[in-house]
Amino acid sequence: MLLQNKKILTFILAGGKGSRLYPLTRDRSKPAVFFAARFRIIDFVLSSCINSDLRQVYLLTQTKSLSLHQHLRRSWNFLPNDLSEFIAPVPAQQRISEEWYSGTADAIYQNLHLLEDHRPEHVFILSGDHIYNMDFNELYHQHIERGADLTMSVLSIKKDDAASFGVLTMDDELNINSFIEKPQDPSLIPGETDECSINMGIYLFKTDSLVRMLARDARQMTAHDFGKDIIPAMIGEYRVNGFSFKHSRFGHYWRDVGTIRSYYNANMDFLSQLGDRVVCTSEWPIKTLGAPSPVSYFGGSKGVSLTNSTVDLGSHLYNCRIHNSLIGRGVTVGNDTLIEDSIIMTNSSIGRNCIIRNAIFDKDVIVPDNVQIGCDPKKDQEQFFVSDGIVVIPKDYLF
Amino acid sequence: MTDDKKILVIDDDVHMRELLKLEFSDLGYKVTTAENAFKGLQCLKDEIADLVILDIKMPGMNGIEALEKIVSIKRELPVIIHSAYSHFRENYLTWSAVAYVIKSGNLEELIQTVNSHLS
Repeated sequence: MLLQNKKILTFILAGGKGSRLYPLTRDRSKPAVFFAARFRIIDFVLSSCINSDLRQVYLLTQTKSLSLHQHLRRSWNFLPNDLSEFIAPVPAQQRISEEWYSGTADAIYQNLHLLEDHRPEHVFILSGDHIYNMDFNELYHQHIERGADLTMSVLSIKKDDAASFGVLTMDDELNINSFIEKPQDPSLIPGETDECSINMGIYLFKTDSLVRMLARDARQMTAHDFGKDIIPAMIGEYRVNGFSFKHSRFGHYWRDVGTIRSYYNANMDFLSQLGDRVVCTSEWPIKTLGAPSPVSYFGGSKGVSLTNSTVDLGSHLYNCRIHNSLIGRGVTVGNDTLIEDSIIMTNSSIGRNCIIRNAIFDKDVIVPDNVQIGCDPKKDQEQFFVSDGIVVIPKDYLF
Repeated sequence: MTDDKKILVIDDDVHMRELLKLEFSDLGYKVTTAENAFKGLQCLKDEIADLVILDIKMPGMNGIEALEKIVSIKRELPVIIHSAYSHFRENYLTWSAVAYVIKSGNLEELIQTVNSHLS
C-alpha cells in the first residue's frame, strides 16, 4: 500500500536550535548538522519519508535556517510539484502575530492554513533531530486498524537514561494511559525492572483530533508543546496508542544526538554498524547531496593505512594512517599524519605530520603542519573547544 | 450578574450591530461595536472585553483571519463566531472559536451561548 495515496500530510519539525551541539550549531540549526561526515541529520527522516512514500512534506524551520534551506534546495528538490508531491521548507513567517514558534504544537498551529489547504485525513508530525530509519507504513497500518486519534512511536530504554524524555506507560492493548514529560522518577514498563518507554517524537494524528487539540491549546496559557501539553491532555479523552519501534522493521537503531558526546557516540555507532550493513542498505537508501566529485585518491610511496573508516568522494590522502574515523567529501590529509577516532567533515585540509585523536572537525577547517589535537588534554583545553573530552573544531577555524 | 461584563461585536452589517447592542445591553452587558476587523482588533488593544461576537464575511480582513489574530494576542478571550454561513464551520481555522452560531432572526441561541461563557 502506498501512503502517498492516503491523504496524508507530513510536517517535520526542523527548527531545533541544538544549543548543546555548539559549535556545530553556531551557523546552522540542528537538523542541518553533518552526520557521519557525509549526511545531514535531516537526511534520515526525509529518506524514511520518501522510502515510505510520504511525498507531501513540509519542513518547519526557524532559527539559523539558511544552511538547511540550501541543503534542501540542492539535495531534496526532486519531487514533481505538478503531481502534488513536494518537500517544502516553511520558514517561521509570523503570519498570525509577531511571535516566533513558542513550542512544537504552536509551530503546527501557526501553519493550520496548510492543513486547511490540503484537508488530509491524517497528519504525520516528525522530529528532524534524530538518527533512525523507519517504515512509516507500519505505524500507519496500526493507526488505522486501531482507529486511533494519535499513534506515537515508542522506544524502550534504561531508566537512568529516560528522565530527559517524555516517559509513558501502555496497557496490553497499546493504549497509552500515562505520559509525563521529563519526569524525575520515570515509570517502568510493567513487568520490567529497569526499562522505560519513551516518546520518540514521531506522531500520526487523525486530523480532526489534532486540530481540536491545537485550537484548544492555543487558547490556553501553556508551553504549546506536544510533549508537555497536547499528549497529556489527550490521554483519557482520545484514543492514544503507542507503536513499538523495537518490533518494527528498522527497530534496532535510533539515536538522539542532543549533546556533543551523544553526537560523537552516534557517529561511531553508525561507523560500526556500517560494517554490518544494517543501517545503510540498498533497500532503504539514505539520500544526501550528490555532489559531482571524483573518486577519492590514496597516494604517496608509503601508502595509506585505512582501518574501520569511511572516506567520501573527492578526498586526497597521502602517506597517512586513518583509524576508526569518518572522513568527509573533499578532505585532504598530508604525509605522516595520524587520524584516530575522529570525524572530519567536508572540505577540510589537514597538513603533514599531524596527530588528530577524539576530535570533530566541522567543514572548511584548514590545519597547518605539525598540529597535535587530542594528545594533551590540558593543551587542548587552552586552545580549543572541548566538550566531554572531545575536541570540536568549528567551521572556518583559524589556527 | 452581567453588569461588569463587556462584549465586543465585530460585524460589517450595521443593523446586526445595532440589534446585538440593543439586545445584549438590555440583558445588562456593556457592548462595544466595530464595523470591521481592523477596528475590532484596535478596540481589543484599547479596552478590555470579556467576549467577542465575530462575523466572518466582512470586507478587508475577514473573521477567520481576525480570529487567528485575536487568539494570538488574547489567548483566553472567548470568541463566538456569528455567521450567516454554515460551511465555515468545517474550516479548521475557525475551530479556535468557543462556539459557532448561525445568524437567524431568533437570537436565543446566541444569547444562551454568550450567557454560558460569561456566567
